[in-house]
Amino acid sequence: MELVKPDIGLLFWMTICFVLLLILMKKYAWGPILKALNDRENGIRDALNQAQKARDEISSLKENQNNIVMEAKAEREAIISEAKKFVDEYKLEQKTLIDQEMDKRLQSVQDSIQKEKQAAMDSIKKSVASLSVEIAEKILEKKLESDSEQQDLINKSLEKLDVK
Amino acid sequence: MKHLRSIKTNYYKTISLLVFFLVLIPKTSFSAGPENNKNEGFNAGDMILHHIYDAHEWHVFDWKGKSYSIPLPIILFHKERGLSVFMSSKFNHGHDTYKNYKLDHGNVVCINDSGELDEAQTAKLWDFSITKNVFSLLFSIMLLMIIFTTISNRYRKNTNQAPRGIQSLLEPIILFIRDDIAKSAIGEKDYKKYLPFLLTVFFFIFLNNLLGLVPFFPGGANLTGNIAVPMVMASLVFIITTLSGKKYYWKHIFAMPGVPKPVLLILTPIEIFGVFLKPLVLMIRLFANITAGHIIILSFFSMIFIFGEMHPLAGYGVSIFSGLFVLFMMTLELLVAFLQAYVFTLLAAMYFGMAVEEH
Repeated sequence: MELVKPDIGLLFWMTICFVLLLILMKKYAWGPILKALNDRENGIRDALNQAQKARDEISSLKENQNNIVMEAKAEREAIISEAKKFVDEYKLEQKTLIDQEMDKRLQSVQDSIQKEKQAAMDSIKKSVASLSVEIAEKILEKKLESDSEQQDLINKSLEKLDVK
Repeated sequence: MKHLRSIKTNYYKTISLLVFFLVLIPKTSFSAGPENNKNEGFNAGDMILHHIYDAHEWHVFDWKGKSYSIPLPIILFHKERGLSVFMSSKFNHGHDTYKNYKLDHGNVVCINDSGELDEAQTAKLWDFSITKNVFSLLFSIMLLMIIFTTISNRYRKNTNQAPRGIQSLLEPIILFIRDDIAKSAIGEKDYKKYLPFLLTVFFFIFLNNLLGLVPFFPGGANLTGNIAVPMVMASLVFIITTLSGKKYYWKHIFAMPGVPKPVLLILTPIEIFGVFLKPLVLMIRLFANITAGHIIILSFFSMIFIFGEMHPLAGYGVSIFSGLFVLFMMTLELLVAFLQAYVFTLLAAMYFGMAVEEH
């Protein structure tokens, strides 16, 4: 029977010591330990959430970046095409200008050639006239014997002139 | 440098522990008792019960027929004679009397002047001695405090860091008790209030179960197998359950909803009986399991000596099988040590959970 008969001394010490152990452990062990475990769990959860957030942010940033790059590319294209157009226009403009100038110059050259030609013709005509007079004088001086000989002479003289 | 310091502190710890024993041994006179009476022969029942019961001295070993033990303080309170405190070595293993007190089968009793047992006086005696179990209790409490304040400090210093050393050994158990016992049995809302109690109960039972399996000083006391220890813990469970009982809990005891009135006449007494039965069963389960484990192991050891008395060779032969069986039982008891701590904690948590349940 002694086995199941609680000993008063042990009951007394056990009650005091165990209650004391409960209080001390709660204050010095379980409090800090459970708090640290809780804090760590929360910390890990927060860190995971933050990492997720950062990842999301990065992906959105990347998207943004892509958008910016695309925009820049489009802008570049636009600028280039505009520039090309401008260049083309400019070229065309310059070409017409040059053409016009050339035409003008050609015209003036042609004009001057025409004038020269006219002047040359005039001087030739004058020369022919004076030559004709000379020939006529020569013929007259020679006193031509026959009409046919006269005709020949005139023709020959004219051929020599070679006026155009 | 750091390693060197830790080695040094370990060194100091070992030294101080040794000094503790060296101081203890000569002062308390590791007193050699008179020769054991060899004529009686080996009595397995006595030997087993001697190991399971409490004692006023810590028997360490026998050497050349003399038993060596560490004397423990005896604190007696007598209603007439008052308080008396002395070491148990004064009794000389129960052979001497001191101040009209005597050790009788491990219990302190009063004797009259003619040296005979005085029942009337003994009834007035209160024995608050630091017995083997009380010493073991104090030792385990000290150990628990040291272990858990150490890891608590480590938690405080290294917040948000992975556990190291003994911290990583105990953290899974703490988390297991928190998540799988307290949270699941009591519920998310109330479990925090009961967690320190559950953790303390678990580690107290677990450590003392393990210490009870250590065959030499300072282990070997049958603390959790002594009915007083589970009784105190079960009483605390009962007190906490009763104090935290909510309307739903009491209603289910005194007036179970949905049960006709005549049936309540039978059911209510049963339920009230159940309120007291639950902690009682809690107490008996732990006490019986641990005591039974000790008895089985000691029985196997006894077989060696029983056969050894028939013939020494038989003793040697049986010792092989006994040793193997004890090894097997010890392994099983390691499991039981954890299991009983777990069961006690789980059931306590379930009772708390029932008390705080709300709908």
